Amino acid sequence: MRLAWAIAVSFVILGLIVGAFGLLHPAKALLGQFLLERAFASGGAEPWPGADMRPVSRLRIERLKVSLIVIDRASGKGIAWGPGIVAGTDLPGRPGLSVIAGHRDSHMAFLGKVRPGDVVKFTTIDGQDTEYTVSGAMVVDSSRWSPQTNSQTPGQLYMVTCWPLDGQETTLKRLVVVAGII
Amino acid sequence: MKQRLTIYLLSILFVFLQFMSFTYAKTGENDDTITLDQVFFGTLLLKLEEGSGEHISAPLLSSRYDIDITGVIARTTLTQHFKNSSDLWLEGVYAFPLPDGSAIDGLRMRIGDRFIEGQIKEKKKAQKTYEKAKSEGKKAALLVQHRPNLFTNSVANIGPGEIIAVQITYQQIIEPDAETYTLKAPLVAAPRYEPQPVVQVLRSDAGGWHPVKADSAGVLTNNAVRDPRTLAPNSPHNPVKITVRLNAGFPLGPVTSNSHKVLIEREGDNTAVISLDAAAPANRDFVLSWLPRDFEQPQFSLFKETTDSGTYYLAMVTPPRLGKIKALPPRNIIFVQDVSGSMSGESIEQARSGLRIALERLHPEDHFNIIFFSDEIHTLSRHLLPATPKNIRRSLNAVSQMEADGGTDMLPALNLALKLARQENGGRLTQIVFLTDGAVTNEAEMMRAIHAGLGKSRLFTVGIGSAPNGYFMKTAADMGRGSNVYITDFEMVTEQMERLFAKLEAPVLTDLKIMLPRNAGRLTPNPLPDLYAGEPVVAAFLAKGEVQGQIRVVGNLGSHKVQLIMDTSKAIERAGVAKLWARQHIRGYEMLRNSSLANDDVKEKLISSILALALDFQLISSQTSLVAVDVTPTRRPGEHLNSQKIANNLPKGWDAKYWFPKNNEILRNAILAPTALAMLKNANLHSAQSNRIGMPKTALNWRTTIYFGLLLLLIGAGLLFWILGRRSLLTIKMAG
Repeated sequence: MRLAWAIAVSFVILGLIVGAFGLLHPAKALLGQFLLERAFASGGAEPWPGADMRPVSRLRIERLKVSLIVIDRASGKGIAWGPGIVAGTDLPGRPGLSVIAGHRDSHMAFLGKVRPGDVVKFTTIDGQDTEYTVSGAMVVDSSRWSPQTNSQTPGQLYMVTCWPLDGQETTLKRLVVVAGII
Repeated sequence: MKQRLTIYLLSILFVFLQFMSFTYAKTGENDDTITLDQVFFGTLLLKLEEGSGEHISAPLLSSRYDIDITGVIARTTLTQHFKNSSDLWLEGVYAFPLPDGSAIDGLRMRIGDRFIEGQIKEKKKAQKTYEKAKSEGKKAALLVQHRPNLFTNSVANIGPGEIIAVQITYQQIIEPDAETYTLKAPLVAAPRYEPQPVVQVLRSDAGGWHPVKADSAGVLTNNAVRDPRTLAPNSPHNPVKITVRLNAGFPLGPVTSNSHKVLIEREGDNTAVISLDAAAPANRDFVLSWLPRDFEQPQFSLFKETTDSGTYYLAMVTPPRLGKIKALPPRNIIFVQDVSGSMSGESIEQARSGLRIALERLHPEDHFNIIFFSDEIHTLSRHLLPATPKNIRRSLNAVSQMEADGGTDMLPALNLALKLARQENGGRLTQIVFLTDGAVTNEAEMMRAIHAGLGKSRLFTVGIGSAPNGYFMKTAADMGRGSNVYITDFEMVTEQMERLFAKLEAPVLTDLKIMLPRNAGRLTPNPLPDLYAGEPVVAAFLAKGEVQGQIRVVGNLGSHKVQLIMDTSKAIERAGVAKLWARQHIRGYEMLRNSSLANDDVKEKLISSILALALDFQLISSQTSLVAVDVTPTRRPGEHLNSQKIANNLPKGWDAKYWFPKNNEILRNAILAPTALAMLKNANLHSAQSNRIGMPKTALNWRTTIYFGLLLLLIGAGLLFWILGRRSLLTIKMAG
């Protein structure tokens, strides 16, 4: 009976630990935005001591009440704190293609509610605004597709997250919401 | 009770832990890499890390098969184009499997403006050439055999965007199965070239994004994001061209392909040109089958190949189809079964099932006997027995009781069989079937006995087990005017024995002879076997000088004589005949060399004969290998060449149509999958930094983790309540 008791208790403890690990992700996402917001306001300083990413831009969609700080890299570690700009693509507001990636079950969950015509507004640290209009979306197989950058074209924006949005499995499919500079 | 509860709980925990590790171990799937074991078709493998065995297969632009079939010879030239679509200098390995029983005799490569040709050299010289080239930093390479019939050849320094063209030539013998001749050509490339939707456009409504109703192709793309490989929706992936020039050596019946839609152009009675109807999807192997027409007389055809060393002839006699053969003649059949100690284990089991099959197939009018031998001899009877149901039962009984024990003394058993065969002919054809693992040491004596005692009978040998004496089995059957079969795989016993005994039941032409004009050379095999339904008799000879006159084929069709005549001038020129002749001879020498008949002197002579033949006919053998040599025509240093200039300056004997295909024969824009390219770049650390834009993982899946934690909590809490409940119940009981 004592063993049964011990197993029951270990179930409870294991449950608490696993649950806490799960909660770590949304907690990080919230905390990250809070700290990035502060760093953005103070002119792009490091959000916390030793952080290897910097805030570069604010992404805003009025209709959906979305306001996010975008960071300068879309590394696996980085995008836990905020959506990031994919390496090799341009900053929003410049000509060429900007690709911003974030998690489907935290920051980028709003991509499911975006509609064609929605205005996506970016504000850089020095206060410059650029607006994009959503034109459509597609699902791509990320192992066989990669965005084609071309710095000659006027600004284009891809907002990328995993597809399907409510999926719980690792996937190669990505939702790409396409927007063009106004 | 307590123990059971504990085990129960532990197993629940275990299952959950399994589930957990499963959800967490799942990573992105990766089907970009390929190992040598996964190569089933000519493939250019690009090296990843040294020693990992993992490769990326280079995009295949086209494959082209040119197949010449001459009777039972199929000569295939496979030309493939690949592209290094990356911006890296790469090292590659061309790997290609060959069909069973085929031998490669040609290899050519074009890598950009370099030309490499495979040449047959004596093994030691080939090794030297290879070492020398290697030390000079040249790209020569030895053809390496990885497993039976999988060869590889290294290709170094493939430049960015360069096209690599490879051509291999191989020859094989097509053995008909139940009158049907079948040719297979592997086509299947790495599965990831199957077109799959890369981009799917979404539409928006109040509920969010939804896939747009797909058009007929199931895929929608837009210009900005199209995968280059799907640029032209109607152009095939990996276009394949196949042309088969068939000269069957007999009037052709139906010619079909079960695998692909083909165009068949009949040119004469015996010939047809078969090609793929349109550019074919390379998703399954190409299979072509053909059958003889319903003729009633055996057919005779003659092929030749003229070379510097003489004219090589191939004579082929094809039997009428089984349905056209009148009643099968009654036979005498004598089984000689080895039951010596070396046969114990699986071999005797194989022999037992083989004999059972043979006995059950006998017809009541046939006569038979069985001789069991080890160092003693037992027979079923002193005479041949009619195959009555009673006698068959008795013999089946004896077969199931036979056991392997004692030494091997084959000669007395063979002599007894020959004696029985001579004594009781009764106008019937006599067949002796020798079943043994062939642990023979006195081959010379055995051969003499067969030669002296065969008379009108025929000797067939069935090799059982892993190491039958190949020379004895083959030569005894040749000398005995029969044929030989090897059974190495227990699974195949039934099939092979059924085939052999079905064949033995249906002789068409016996005492077959092919008479050559005066100054023609010697015919091999000599003497000729009989002609049986379902398979042709093929014989070759070399004529040094001009041969004029008639070739006559004579034989007995039942009770009357048949004669077929052909003038040597009617022989049809076909490539591959000379190589077949040389292969036949090399095979004979090899078997003799491995038998106990050859002493060291003889062996040395045989080795030099094999070497001479292999060099003359450019064949890979025990004494020769294929070494790739740079044959790029010399040009001024630093001279820049465009493709037109390269095309005009091909090495001698190279046909431009293979090396510079027309636009519509080749896929121009095949590329590597982005992930594969990224892997190549990682492996080539010295090259420039990756400019591929990778998609990060964008799913945390934290909800699953939390649900899982909650579930564990619930189970723990439930258990606690249950334990507490039981405890109070216990207390109440005790109080009561």
